[in-house]
Amino acid sequence: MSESTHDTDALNPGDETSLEAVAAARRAAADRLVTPWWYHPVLGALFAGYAISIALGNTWVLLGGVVVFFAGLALLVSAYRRKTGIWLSGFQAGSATKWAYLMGAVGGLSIAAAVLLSYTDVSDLWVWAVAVVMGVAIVPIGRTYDRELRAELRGER
Amino acid sequence: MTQDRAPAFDEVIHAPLRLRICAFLDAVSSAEFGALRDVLEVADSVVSKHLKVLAEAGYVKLEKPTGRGRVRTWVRLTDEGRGAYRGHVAALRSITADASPD
Repeated sequence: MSESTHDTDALNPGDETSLEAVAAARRAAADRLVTPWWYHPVLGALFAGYAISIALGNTWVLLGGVVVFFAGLALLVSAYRRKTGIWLSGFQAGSATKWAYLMGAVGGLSIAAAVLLSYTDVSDLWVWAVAVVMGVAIVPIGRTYDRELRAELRGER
Repeated sequence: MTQDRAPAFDEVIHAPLRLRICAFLDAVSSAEFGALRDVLEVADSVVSKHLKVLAEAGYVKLEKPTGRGRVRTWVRLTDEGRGAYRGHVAALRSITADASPD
């Protein structure tokens, strides 16, 4: 640890070292933006569980599903922040933002599909199947988001 | 993420540690004080000193969320700070490009 607080060693304007310092800081952010392995599976499970509660439950089950979904999201984000010491909104992630939107769309679709299926006479198994497929799909999308984000921060694309 | 911005050299940001702080914070939405300290590899007091300068310029905002356990300080760039940082990086790139023999 350095105790230096000197500002007088400021780099010359235009010194390429300044830009290298910027690049190094961005690489450091990329190194820290390593999503825990359980993050996306839990996110997928939350969406799947919410969809199932909508499609299969009565009013109380639905309310319970809403509470568990939003409380689960809050806990998930809190755990991520505690573990990594940083937070990055998926909607501020540069070129990786499209994958965050795709994750949101898949989650939204699973909920919409569950609502539609709840108005039909199809077997409950279909609701479970749709929810599980959508929940599982979130995992590779989330990991692609992570890879693209880190690559962009490291200046690899 | 760094986006194109009109070049504007900023003396507050150009100090090496403050430039690194801003570059790190620009890459994320917010960062915990300890994470910043670890990245910079300096003492808490040094980080605090530079964050104070940036906060007084209106470039960063410090938050202490309440909740269970130890209170941790979180830092984020303000919109003004993000704009100033990106303008500064654009200015550095512009100066460097002008100085390039090509």
